Amino acid sequence: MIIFLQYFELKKFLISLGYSEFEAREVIKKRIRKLSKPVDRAFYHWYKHSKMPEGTLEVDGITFETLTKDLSMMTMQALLYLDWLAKEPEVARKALRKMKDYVQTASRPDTEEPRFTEPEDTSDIQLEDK
Amino acid sequence: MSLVVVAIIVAAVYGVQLLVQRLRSIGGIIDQEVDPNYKPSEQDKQLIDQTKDLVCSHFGGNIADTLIPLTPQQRSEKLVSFTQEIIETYNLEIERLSIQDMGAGLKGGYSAVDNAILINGNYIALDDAEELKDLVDTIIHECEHARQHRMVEHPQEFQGDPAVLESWRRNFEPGCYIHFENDPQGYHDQAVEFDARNFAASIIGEF
Repeated sequence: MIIFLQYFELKKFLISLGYSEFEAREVIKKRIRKLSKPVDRAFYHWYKHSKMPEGTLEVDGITFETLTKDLSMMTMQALLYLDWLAKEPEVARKALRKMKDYVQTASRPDTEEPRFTEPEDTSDIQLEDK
Repeated sequence: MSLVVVAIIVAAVYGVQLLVQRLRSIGGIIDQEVDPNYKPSEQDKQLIDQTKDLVCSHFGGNIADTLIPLTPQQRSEKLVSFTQEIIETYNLEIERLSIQDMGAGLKGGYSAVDNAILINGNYIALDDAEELKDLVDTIIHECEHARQHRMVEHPQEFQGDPAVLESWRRNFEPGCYIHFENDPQGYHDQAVEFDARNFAASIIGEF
């Protein structure tokens, strides 16, 4: 069965979590539209029901619990990290030791678009639910 | 430039130690390899060589061996002195250098808003060779972010590939920096982090 997530609702949800407009667009375009299994089902369950599904979500020996409890990752962060681990296990593992800083840029008023914008793909996001 | 040093909080250091152990068990040792897609310009290469000289003059041939015997206060002083020389060498307009409690996860930061470089003081107190070496990497990394920002603000000083400068300009646009907590892969792959990570690895990899 294919599940359809409405683009603008999903974007609004991400922004409510603290994502900037740009980050929300990028995460939908590059991550959520291409989520690997079983992360896609876990994400959908959490998005719709505000909690993770029963059972252990594990990718390449790393569990969702390890990331959230031992490494203090937020839910969305942990899901995206597991998705990355599924696709590029060696790169993602090494990157964990190098995730170490942030750059603070000026903030933008909510009503203002970034100066460069690619057209948004606002079609529904399709996830498979088996 | 004003210098603000905040006391290192012992309880936070314990949290950092625990986190480091957990990260190490999952991610292994810190990788100092330079990405084969990283193509430093001649300007970058010159700065890389100058920075290697600065690392040598401040820490000798082995960063950890130099820092481990020192107290956290002595380490702070040495790292501050090193950072100040980097700032001068890179011609950066930094207004504040702050060593402060940043909790357990982050090692540093650069604020383009305040022209400030931040270093997590909790890592200075760790008697961990790998992490102390990575602290020097972090300082270079943050200074490279400051240099990227300077190049974007003063493009006439930039001597590399215009496409690279454009990618930095876009990345520094308000709201267009991707935070690790929002998208780990996006944080890793974005232009300013790719450059800063590999710029620092080009230097620290030899120590």
